[in-house]
Amino acid sequence: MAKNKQPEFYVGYLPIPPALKWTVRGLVVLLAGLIAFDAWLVASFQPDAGDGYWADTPTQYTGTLNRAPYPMLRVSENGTTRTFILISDEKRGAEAVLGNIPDGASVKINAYEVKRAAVSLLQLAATDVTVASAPTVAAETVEIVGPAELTGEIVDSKCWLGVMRPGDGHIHKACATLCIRGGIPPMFVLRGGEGPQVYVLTLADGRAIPPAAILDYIADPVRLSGIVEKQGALFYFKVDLSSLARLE
Amino acid sequence: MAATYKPVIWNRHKRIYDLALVSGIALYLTVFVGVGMAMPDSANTSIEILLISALGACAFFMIHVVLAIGPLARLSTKFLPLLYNRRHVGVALFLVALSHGAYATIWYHGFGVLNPIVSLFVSNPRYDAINAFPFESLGVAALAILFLLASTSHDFWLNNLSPAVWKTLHMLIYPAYGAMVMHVLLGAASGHGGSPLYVWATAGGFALISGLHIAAALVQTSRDRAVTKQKDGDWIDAGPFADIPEKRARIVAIGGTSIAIFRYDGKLSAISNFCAHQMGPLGEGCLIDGLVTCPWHGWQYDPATGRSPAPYTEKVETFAVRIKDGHVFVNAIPNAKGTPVAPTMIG
Repeated sequence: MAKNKQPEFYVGYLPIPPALKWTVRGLVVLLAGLIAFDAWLVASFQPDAGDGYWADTPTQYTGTLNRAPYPMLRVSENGTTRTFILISDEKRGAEAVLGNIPDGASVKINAYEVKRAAVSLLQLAATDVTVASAPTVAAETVEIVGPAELTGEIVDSKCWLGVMRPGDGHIHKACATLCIRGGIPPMFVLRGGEGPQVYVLTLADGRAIPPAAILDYIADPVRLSGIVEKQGALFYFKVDLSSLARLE
Repeated sequence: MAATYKPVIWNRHKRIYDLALVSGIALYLTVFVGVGMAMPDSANTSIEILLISALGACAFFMIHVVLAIGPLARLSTKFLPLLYNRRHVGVALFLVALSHGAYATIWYHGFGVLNPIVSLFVSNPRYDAINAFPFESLGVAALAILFLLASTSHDFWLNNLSPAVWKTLHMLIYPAYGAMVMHVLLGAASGHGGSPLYVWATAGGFALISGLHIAAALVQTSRDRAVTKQKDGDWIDAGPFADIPEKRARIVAIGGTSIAIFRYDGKLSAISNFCAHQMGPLGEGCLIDGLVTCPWHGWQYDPATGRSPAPYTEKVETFAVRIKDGHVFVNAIPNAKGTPVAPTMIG
């Protein structure tokens, strides 16, 4: 015998069958619940963004320019020296903006402060760095901490310190590579082990790291050997690049 | 159905459907960003990065919905209202994925010494590594496929490419899904900052989609086997006609042919089971106002001629039917599309 009981049949351009209305409403509520649950679950496991800070408004700084190994500015605050890494806006170092201004010159700049832990950086707000008439700010004393073999990650200073939050890890690898390729000073972030969390990377002789030498290793877990030095609030890791090894 | 092409032929259901769709996307992004800003670890996350993550996660959720609707509608007709406007979900999926990709490209690859598009492919050069693979390239591949699917989703392309080619083209949604799965596994789920939860959630989503497709295939196979399909020359025994419900069909699948035999008003007629629109299963539809109505989008055909009512011009193949010893037999040789076949009278 034919079964004469017909199920409710949905046709998009006809009025919805009464019994199906409640099914559709139930499906909509179920989907809304699934949407909220999935969004909550995935958002709950976002990576640690760190405690970096990026100022919303620029501030004027006057101090002494340091050109090597990376552009830096020493300013005097309440009788003590504070050193800022200098970068331009966008993903480029400050070299092009500073032009021929000599090492040790007094300059006045307008910049956005970026900072994390004890490390600060200034992102130039404009390209007009002006030579100022101001007393020279003395460099801090260099303390040799000693040789070290560290494991961690090479990051770009701009993003890790606070412009990108988070500014490390695999997701950020391409951006960090682009930044360092553009002249942003590289830093080394410790992963495991004891000691300072972050170091400015230089060659063993104190010169800047050539970007091409480390591009393939950025954001990967790596091991590096060298000498750790401290100057003011900044730790430097003067490395032997032949020791650079990926940990995988 | 449409006699002419229009960007969207709106009706009340499509408006409600799209309103729910946009509300769902807004709900996802709002909850994601709200929770992200409230969690201790991610509270300091740049709002740009939180939005990029939210758009990516939303697109990944949406492709699961798109892929689940088809098998769900095969398992139960209660899900047909979700299927009706599925193409709009597909286009919305592309737009959300495009927003994610464009925003991520600007944020992570813009403002540098390389062209952002070039940077997308070269800034991470480790194509030889699994755990450091440039996952961005997989996202680009998925987005390219989604663009192809979204841009050809209109009936203009369906008619000009032919339903079979269009259907095959739109099977590319599966490679797109595969690329998105790997984009997530080798990206957000990988390396420092990656969470094992993303691996488990992706595996769970994959299991769900696979399970639904397998269940739908098993149910379809079971339905096909339920018909005896004894052959008498070109004639196929489709079982007792008395078991076919009024205004409904029995589907006979043999070789590459699928035939829907409809019973209505004391008569039997057989037409192709594949709708001329998107090859929807006409045999799972029913007769409304004397016309076979496709369960997917409501396209209609006269069961005796396989033709859509004027002014529409769509046609499907027809088949001869006869009754012998209480069984209905259908001739497996199809007539040309739209060929009238006199219905077989019952009794």
